[in-house]
Amino acid sequence: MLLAELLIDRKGEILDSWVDQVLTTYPEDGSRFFKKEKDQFANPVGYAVKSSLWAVYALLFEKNEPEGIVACLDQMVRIRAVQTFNPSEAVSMAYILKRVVKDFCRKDNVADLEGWHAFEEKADILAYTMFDLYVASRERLYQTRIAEIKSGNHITTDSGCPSKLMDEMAPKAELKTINV
Amino acid sequence: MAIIKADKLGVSVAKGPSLMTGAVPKNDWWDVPATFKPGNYAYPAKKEIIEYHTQKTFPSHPGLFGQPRDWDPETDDWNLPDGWEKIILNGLKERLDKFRSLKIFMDCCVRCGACADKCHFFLGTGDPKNMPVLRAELLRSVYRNDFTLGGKILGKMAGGRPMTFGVLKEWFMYYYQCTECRRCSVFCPYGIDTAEITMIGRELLHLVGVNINWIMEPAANSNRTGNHMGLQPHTFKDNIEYLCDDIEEITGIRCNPTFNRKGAEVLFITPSADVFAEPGIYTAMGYLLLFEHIGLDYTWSTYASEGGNFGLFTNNEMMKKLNGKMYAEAKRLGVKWILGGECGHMWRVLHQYMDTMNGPADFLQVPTSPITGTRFDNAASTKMVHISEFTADLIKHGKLKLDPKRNDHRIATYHDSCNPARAMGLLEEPRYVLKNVCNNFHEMPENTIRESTFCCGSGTGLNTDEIMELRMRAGLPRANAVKYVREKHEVNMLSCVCAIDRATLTSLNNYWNPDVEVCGVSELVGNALVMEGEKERETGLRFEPLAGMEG
Repeated sequence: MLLAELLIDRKGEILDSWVDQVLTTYPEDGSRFFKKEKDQFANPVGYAVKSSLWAVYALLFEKNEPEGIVACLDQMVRIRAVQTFNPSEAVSMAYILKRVVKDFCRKDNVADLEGWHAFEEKADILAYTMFDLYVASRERLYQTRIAEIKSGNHITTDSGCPSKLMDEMAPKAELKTINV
Repeated sequence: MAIIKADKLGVSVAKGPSLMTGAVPKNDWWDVPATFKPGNYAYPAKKEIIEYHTQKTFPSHPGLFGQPRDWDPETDDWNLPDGWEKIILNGLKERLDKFRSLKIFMDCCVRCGACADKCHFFLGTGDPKNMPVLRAELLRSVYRNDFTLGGKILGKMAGGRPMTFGVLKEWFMYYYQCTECRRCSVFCPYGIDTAEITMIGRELLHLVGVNINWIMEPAANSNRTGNHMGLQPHTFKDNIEYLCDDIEEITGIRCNPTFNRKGAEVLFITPSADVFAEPGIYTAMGYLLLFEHIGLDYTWSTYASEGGNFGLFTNNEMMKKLNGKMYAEAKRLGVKWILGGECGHMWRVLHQYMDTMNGPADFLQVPTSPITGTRFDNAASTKMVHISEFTADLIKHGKLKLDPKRNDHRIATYHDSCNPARAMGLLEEPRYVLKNVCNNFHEMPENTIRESTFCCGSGTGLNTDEIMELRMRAGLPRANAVKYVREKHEVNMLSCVCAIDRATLTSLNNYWNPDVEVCGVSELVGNALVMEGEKERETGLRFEPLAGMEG
């Protein structure tokens, strides 16, 4: 059997195992719930992981449309970028998939080196894309923090008395006018 | 340079702790210590702020906030007072005697698990200690150990554990990973108000000086100047007048609000963020236009210049004092009743705690709308009416001239702010108002709104930027529902009736849904109000072009 055929024939089992192993990266009690609950609003993490991985798998190994994976991965990576993972763990899905597919190859005695190269190339695209999305999410997080600081929200704690600040600003403004 | 083998590298990269985020705990909760790292805790209160509270806010209550000091949560020495364990246990005993509800909540949980998956912190983190039942267990285990016969005899076997520094660290970690939103309580068959367990947890932490600055400094400002921002009377007045200038530029109408005016019929109180911070200021412009539209005899107060009550996040004494200020001012000015703006926790304090602290406010009259004659008997005790109730009543009686087309550039949804929704049952009025002032309104999914609304993730004083990651994961369930209506209906405006929400949802959307802005319901009212003698409106209240006026 060729690896490409295995990826289609055993799609459901491979994906179940992949999703299961990704969700196992959460603490046990959380992971159990993330795997079980089906409602996308009651379980945003589990739903994002499952729907992202299924969509990505279809694009890479069924439709051969790797350019579409960014949109599928975005929400899942955005979630993992603010959770308590090491960066490498947050975007470990491609490596987990390699491990899962390797296990299936062993079980089904699939020895298809060329097929493996083609598969690995796609898995690598997945890894690179997730890394880019992860970094973009972290940058968005920092920008969110900067935007909040600039909005004046922190004025309640870190700026001293706003009334006094305004008083201090007023004479400076007058002085500038006189100098001009 | 030593060559690292690939398998070792894999292990070290994937499993090793990171300075940035830390690793995911994989042991039983009991054995997982709380570890503080940059980004996972809010900064402790500044020493001078605690000195202020000790000397000025509560000179008659020594010890309420522990010993003022500098301390660092990341170290293993928090400079706690000698015998701090005893202080906590005595504090718990005092509260068990004082609050029957606490005693019941400590005893009656059967660990059915109904609450476990309802908390937004749990849904965003997967951390079991964020299950409400387990968060309560952090306190309950100490209660069992020292206050129940079974716990005293059997200790750990009966689910008891002594008060240790490790437990204290857990309390600081997880009672500040709860926004007291009470979503879990909706699902509890026994009605355990888990928020009150967090409140007591925080009260006990205060006794030994464990606290966060983002709560204590606004509370100090509020005690000193009347509002969280620390605005003095002239600045408060100036800011509202700046808003009147903007209103005049947009509508051609000059509003002339009064301040501290004795004998006004109504005192209006709203969060100070509405007066000073975006996007709340646009909500305040909506209030100003509404009151001008109906010719309301009302006054602002530069002393009761804050609706928000950070006492709710601190302790009972602070809550009582900050709530009392509003009523003291109403008495001083001789108003008949109070109209309250779009605030969150002000309404919880008012509806659920005030009567046994400062109320009932018998010196005021049961609020009656001077425009429609409606008597608000629901506010017979507090004498304070919510702006959405008041506006909905005006619309119902046809007293407002509205042009909802002016909000056609907005496709709105509505976030039920936790406290007005769950603590006062304000579910229909804001929706009724929204449906009358804008043509495009879409609800988020049923299990994310009304009584089941998901918190913004940053309430109870957690709206501070050093814990941005934590806030983003706590706000995920809310943002996830917003994302759904953005994709399905192209929603571009998330409306709400809470000042903290207006600030926190803005950041939440910046991360999760950058195309969706945030507003107060009254901003959309202000856009739609057709004022007598106004000029043609080309922009909304934030100077954004109206639909058809973009060019």
